[in-house]
Amino acid sequence: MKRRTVLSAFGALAAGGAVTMGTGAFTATSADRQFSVSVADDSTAFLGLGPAPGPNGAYADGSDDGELELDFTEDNENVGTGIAGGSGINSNATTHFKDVFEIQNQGTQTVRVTVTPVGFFEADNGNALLVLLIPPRWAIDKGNLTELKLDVGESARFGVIAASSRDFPPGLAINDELTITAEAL
Amino acid sequence: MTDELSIEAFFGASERYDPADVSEIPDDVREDINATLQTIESIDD
Repeated sequence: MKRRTVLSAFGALAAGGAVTMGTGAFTATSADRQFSVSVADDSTAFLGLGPAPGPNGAYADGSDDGELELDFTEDNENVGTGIAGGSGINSNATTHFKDVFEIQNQGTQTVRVTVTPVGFFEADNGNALLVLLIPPRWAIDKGNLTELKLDVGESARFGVIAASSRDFPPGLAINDELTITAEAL
Repeated sequence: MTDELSIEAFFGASERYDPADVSEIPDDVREDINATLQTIESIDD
């Protein structure tokens, strides 16, 4: 997850606040007020991004720098705590991980959250490695799998489906980024 | 609400992959994933 994504989400919330302040009757006024902005870890920000509750939340590894990272490799720092071991998904198999990470609206307005892409794949000589991010159906907005509508306090828990074909060479992996944005409705 | 979860819906929504690239996904993998997606749908319903 790119930090700028969180910052842009915060910017959208701040813009909404400015419109509300413009409805007063004063022509001009001036006052000094303290203004504080802080950057939070993904899990505690206004757009909360973090592991889902439950055992599969261990695959959402945010322990390094506080930013959400989905890690289904031996590099996951939860190995030994939430994950017993293993270094990757099975070849020639389709694996469904339910409730891996969650996005929570911890702000003050209903938001449309866009998560993109929700599908990743690598193909090599007729073999393929795929990962799909599975949003909760109740939160899908207007039939688009990449867009969710979250009211204040709501959390959307994502699952993951990972699949590999029979002869996919061991060691090949998908290293990519997903972009998560939020816009106040 | 989506009418049906399928591998095509995921890659179509992402607007990132060329349909020709997605066609490289072997049929057996595609069938396995779509079957898994249908299982998820039935659980959610």
